[in-house]
Amino acid sequence: MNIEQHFERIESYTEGGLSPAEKQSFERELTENAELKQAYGLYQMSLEAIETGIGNQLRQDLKQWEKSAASNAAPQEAKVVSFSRRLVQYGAAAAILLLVGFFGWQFLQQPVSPESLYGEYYELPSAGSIRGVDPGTKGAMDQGRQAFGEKKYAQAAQIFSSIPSNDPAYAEAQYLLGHADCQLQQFPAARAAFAIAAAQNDFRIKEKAEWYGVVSCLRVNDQPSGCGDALAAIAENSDHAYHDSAVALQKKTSKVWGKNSGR
Amino acid sequence: MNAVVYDNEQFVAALKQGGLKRQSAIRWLYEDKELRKRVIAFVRNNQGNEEDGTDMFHEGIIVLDRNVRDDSFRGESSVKGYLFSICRFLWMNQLRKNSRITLVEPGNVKEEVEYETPERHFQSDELKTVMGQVLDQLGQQCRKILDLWKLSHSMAEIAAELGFDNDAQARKAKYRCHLSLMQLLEKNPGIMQRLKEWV
Repeated sequence: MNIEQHFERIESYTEGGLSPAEKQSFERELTENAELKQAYGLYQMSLEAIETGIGNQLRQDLKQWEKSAASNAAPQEAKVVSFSRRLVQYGAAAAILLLVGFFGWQFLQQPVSPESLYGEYYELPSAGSIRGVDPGTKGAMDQGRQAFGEKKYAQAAQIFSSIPSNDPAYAEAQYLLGHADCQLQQFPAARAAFAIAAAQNDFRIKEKAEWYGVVSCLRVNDQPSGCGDALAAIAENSDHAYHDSAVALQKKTSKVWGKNSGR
Repeated sequence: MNAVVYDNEQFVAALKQGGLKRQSAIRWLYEDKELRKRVIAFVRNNQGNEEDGTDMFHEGIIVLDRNVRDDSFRGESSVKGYLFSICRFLWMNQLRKNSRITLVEPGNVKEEVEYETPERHFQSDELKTVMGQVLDQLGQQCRKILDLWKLSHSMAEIAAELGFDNDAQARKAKYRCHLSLMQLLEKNPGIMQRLKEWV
């Protein structure tokens, strides 16, 4: 189905942007044109999906507030403390603050380690994102996903490597292989798998694979070439799903990969 | 502590405005201890426990947020009364699912009938799971753009929040993300089955 062809009209109709005549014509066409009706149905589904995301975010916020309320409710007993004792306490606190400030400043002068940046930016795909099933590749991909979900990464890696390049799920297999390799601390292999996944131009995978290709670079020894360029490409593309993260990482990697992020 | 008190109109306006105003209005509702106690008491009187009651209170707020933004809340009762009726409805549904429905109404039944009934459909757990899987496949940036757009943020606000150079760039990104989401949904057999039934 060519969704693009119908998208703008559907959106204008949904948002009340059509003239009365255009609206009438659109509604008539909806009853006659099965493809338009299906595209309209998909648009409505997409709004449901967005609402699901908004609901999930709000659920997380509520849980967070619940946690904060529980920790704030912990009993606090008031103590009567003499003035001289309080002076000693203030003095000790000031000394600790000075020490913390000094060592904190020293710490900030230390170069950021690639390992800590990797820990900050690497995220294992959630269970939800590896449960989908592509028709036709059900057997091997399902087994691979299952092994991955059960944290049997060596087994998952073996299965994902066996998916042939002409398989419709090849991009996803390489992407998950990259993650399995990351879990197995095989970072050069992970980087290669992410590169292959990104090169398949599967819109579901491409940007994620490009990003994790860069993140896995952080753990490849001897400052691999091309990592800085790959990071810069994402940071310069404001449409990229990981643009913001890439901009932030670029600032931090200037200490790891040199001033221009390794370029 | 939330010092602001909202009447129906102000509450609806804040939720529709999105951003911090929406957040504060939701927080105001969340911090109503009496209302929370009533929801928990209702659930406890009907075969649930405190945790179930808290969950219902949260789920009720989520449904209310959407109903208000979709104009399903007509303002015929107070926002808090409406929230209680949603929580009650959600818990009854839960009991029905578990086939243990013998509902014990709260003492002040008279007050209950003044409340609007939540008419909006409630997404099934199955659909929520499928939608969640599809959203996971969409990039983080895309999810954020679409959330902000659905929460009525202007393209200028989206551009400012996500660091786009201008509105046009934000609009282009929103178009691209929305299209990707629809394409992902199209590839999901569960979604397509529902769509076929509808078409």
